[in-house]
Amino acid sequence: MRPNDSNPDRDLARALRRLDPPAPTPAQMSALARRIMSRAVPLLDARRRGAATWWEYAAAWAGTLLPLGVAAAFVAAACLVWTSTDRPARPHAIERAALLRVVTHPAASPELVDFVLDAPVAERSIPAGAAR
Amino acid sequence: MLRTTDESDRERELLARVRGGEREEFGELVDRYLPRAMALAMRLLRHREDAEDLVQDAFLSALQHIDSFDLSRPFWPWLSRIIVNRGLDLASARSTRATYALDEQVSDARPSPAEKTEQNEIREHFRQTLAALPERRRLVVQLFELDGFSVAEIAKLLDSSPATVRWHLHVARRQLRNALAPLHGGDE
Repeated sequence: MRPNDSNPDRDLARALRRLDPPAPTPAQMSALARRIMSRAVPLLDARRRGAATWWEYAAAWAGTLLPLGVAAAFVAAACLVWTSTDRPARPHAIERAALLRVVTHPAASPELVDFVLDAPVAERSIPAGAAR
Repeated sequence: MLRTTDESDRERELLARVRGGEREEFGELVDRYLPRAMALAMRLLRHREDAEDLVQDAFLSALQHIDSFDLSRPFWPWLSRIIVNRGLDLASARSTRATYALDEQVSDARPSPAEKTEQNEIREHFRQTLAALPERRRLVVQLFELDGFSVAEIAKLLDSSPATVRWHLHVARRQLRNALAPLHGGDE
């Protein structure tokens, strides 16, 4: 009789099972599990690092970043002090004085331009009698 | 294999934690699937040390690619496909075929020495017939007859069509039954 092809054939299965190599012992299986775990640990640790949240990164870098931050703040404060004590004269103060002279000076308009561009020279070149 | 919702949920949770790099959960996953993985690898390679290497590679590969795994699906079909794909490559790359150990326990009926010799010859012929089958065909018949896989499951596992699997199964069974026929006192 031909066994039904859609179901396993018991005679065939028995004959095949006789040829199966011996199954690993529990000790061999445990050793294999340990071996797999030992190889997997670096991969798992890399995954843990990859999944770390921002505050975990901050905590991990705190030892480096805190001294760096303090040093940067110190340098910035020193620069601020240095620039505030040794700053140059404000350049627009001269312009403001020249403009004031132009407004109050009675010179003719072509001469006024020269006066603005070179205020001290113009001032010298205008005779005192040409005030009107 | 039927899986309850609880089992599926637990597995999904395990896999999600493994994605996050949890060692304990990966260990649980290994414990859960190691026996089946090892049985499948042994069937493919017929050599314990080779099978162990294959299973180890498969678990590590699954871990490396777990981000691409759809957590809503069961893990075993995915892992078994990794094992089968790598195992078939290894098996075809190996130039020598492993030999099967013949079971000396022929039957409980205590045959005469002449009968025993005849039965051993038949079994040796059966062993040779099985070893001569193409790798995929041998795997199909073993998965179907011994491990209880359905044709559809084998087709999925081997990335093949059910019709092809049925054909492999039919041809393999015919050859193996012919080899066993003298043992049962007749021809197929």
